[in-house]
Amino acid sequence: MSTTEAQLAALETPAITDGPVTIGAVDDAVLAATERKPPFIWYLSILVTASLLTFGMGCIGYSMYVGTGVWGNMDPVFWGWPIVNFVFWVGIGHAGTLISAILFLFRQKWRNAIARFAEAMTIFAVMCAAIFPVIHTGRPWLAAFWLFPYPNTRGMWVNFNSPLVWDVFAVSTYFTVSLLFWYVGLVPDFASVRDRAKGVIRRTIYGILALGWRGSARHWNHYEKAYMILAGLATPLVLSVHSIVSFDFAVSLLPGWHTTIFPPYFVAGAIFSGFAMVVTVLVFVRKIMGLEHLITLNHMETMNKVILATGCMVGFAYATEFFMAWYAGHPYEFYIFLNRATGPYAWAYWTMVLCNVISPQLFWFKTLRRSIPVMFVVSIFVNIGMWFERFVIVATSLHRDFLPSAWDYYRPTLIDVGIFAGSFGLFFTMVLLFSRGLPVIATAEVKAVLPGTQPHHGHGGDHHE
Amino acid sequence: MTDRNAAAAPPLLLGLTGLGLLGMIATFFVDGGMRFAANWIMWYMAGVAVLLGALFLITIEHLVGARWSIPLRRVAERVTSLIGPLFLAGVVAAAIGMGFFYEWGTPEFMEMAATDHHLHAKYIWFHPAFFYGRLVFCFLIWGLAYRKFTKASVGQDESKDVAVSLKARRFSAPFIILFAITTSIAAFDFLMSVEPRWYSTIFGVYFFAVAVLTGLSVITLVTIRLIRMGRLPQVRDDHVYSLGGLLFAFTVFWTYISFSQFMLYWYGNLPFEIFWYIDRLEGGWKPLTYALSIARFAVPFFALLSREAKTDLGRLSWVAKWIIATTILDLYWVIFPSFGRMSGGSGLVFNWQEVSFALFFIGAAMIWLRRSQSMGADMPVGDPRLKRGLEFHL
Repeated sequence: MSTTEAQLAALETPAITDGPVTIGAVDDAVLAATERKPPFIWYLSILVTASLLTFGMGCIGYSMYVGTGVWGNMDPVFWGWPIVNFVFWVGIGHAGTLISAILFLFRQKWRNAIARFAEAMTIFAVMCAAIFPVIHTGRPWLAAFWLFPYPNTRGMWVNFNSPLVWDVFAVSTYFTVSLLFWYVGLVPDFASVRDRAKGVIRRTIYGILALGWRGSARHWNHYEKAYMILAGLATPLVLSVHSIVSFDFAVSLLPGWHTTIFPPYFVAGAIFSGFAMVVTVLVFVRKIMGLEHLITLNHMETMNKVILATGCMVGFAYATEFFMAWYAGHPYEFYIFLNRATGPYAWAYWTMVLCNVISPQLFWFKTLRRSIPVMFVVSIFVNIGMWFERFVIVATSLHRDFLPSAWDYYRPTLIDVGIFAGSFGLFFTMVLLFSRGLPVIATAEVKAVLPGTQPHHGHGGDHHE
Repeated sequence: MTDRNAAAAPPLLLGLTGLGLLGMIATFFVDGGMRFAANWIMWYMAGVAVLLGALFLITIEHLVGARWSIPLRRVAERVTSLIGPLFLAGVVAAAIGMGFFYEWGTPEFMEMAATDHHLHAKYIWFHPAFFYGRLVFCFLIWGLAYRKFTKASVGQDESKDVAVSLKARRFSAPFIILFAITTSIAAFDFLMSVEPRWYSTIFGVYFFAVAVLTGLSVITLVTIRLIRMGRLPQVRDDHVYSLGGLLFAFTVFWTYISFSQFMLYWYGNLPFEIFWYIDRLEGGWKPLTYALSIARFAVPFFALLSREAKTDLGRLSWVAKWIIATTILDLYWVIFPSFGRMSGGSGLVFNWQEVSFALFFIGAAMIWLRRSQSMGADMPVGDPRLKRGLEFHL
């Protein structure tokens, strides 16, 4: 009988929290982090990340002062690291909304513990992403004129045929809805922090942020409706943003870019990289902030499953592209793919394949899915691999265009590296500030799925505990 | 009430199916093999779509440990029993397709392919042995899934063996990868190849969207029928809601995929890509293309948007039928312009021939599905998680 019971247990969905957790304990674990002094490691980390950020700002300032010629961008690779980094960061920003919106609509209760953090990372990643196309214009102080259509006496409009303008709309819409969604979710938690606050300043600040939330039944009723509507609005955005980013490439006529699978393939890749970044960050956060009983190994394992699934989708898309380049009998298309795998950027291509397609395969094994060191290493690999994917797409299709006389080899400069490092500085500085000032877990949502808070439907309580 | 006699086909159904069969035979002799083959391939791929849609739903349930669909899983499992007749239909489709319809099946094309560098890949890919090999490979994979999911699950009704559920779950993960590969192969081989010079990397995903929509619609229809017959007494709105939700989601997904394909080729406007759309945006095909986008997106989208609609059996029933009809329209839109190119007309044909094929294939599928309703219990009663599935609340 014991084997049958073990088999039955294996079929069950794992518990959402580790061990018995009371409602008060959730508050203490999550909200108290905003009240006490941060640990030493926090200061050390923010010193590093803020320095990186400053350095990156310096590099941007230098580029603006001297001109974008200090970057590696050259003929024929006019789209260098700035576009690679833009697509990379937009991709990172996809896990949050997927977790908060799509998994919400799919009634995946495990999402409650990680949704807040992932949403925050989405917002910060989109902020990082926005830097690059703007500085890539060379004169960012004029960017508002080029990016937004507005009536003006010169009769000049943005080029609506350009996917870069679509990007402006897609990314700014995404940012706005993600921010609203995040904020709406935060309101009840702001109120909890306010109610626990001892000082007047603290109570006032969080009180204003809480928008007068009192937790009445009517408040909750409105809250649930608003949350559902925002989830519905955010869901198509998860697909649309990276689809439109993929159009930046796919509407061109370049071999390697102009292919119809790009929209869904970019979306899968974005979710893949976004989840990898969430895993990378949460591995530390749950440990340092003492949240291992709320963000459990089960959560990490589930995210690793998503990484495996989306990694396979990305691999499948690579294979489809390769197959179709052969099947189509289009010599340029096939050359580009051959050149990716065997040309001067073969090192980048195979790094990408190793990181994106091979490394997630470790997650077929349950023990590896649940091993913190393994998942940390794999998530880093995936982050690297997804950056290289965008690099391969940008560099290989451009560096050898139709005229061999124009062929060249693209190299970034130290300034490119500095700006990219600065974007990591921005991202992690924001993550650190967030983990200090705001509740990193949606306590109201976690409380709602604790054992004993769900209706029993008159069949006894056998499916709890 | 468990009306087992419902398995026996009523005389009207049998009669109409027989009439369809006669019309099909007449088509072959009156109009020749090409029209016969175009129709046959369309209905065969509609059947494959239903099979793959049902397999997908079963696989996903095992893979993610879904609860809501457990009480409805037997419906999907019975639908997968279409695999046997579909294999026969597939062999016929390949044979008559090569013989009468596909351009790549003609010796002239193959001679050209043997020497023309641009077509050389097709010389290998469409070699009859390779083509039949892929067909058999696909059905072996789907047949394996039929054994590991459907057969095992029906056996579990009696044995109540928990290990069956665990094995199904273990199989579901590798199978989903094979599923993706075989779905793409089926789409490339039978649909994309109607224009052997045309290609689209998203086409496999496109057919996947068609398959899930169609399979879900058939499952929804059978479920509603069983509920109305009182054979699924514990199935509530909470379960049905998810069927409606998924139909809604995949309606949007299909639109997203087909729009992506269209937009990128329209924008690129490259002669070797856009000709496929030009064929479908000229003459009589133009209104049909617009009609397709409205019928397949706008109608089900607005019909299923509200929460109440997803549990309203009457509305779900007509939307499911509507989606199946638009699947046929979709496949017609993919296949028949090329029929026109091959036969020298517009390809926009609809007459007693097409009606005969519809009668036969719909009739035969209904007879088969009615018969399959006696396969195992109406719910997977041996599944240890059935109780949790029945307790499912939104």
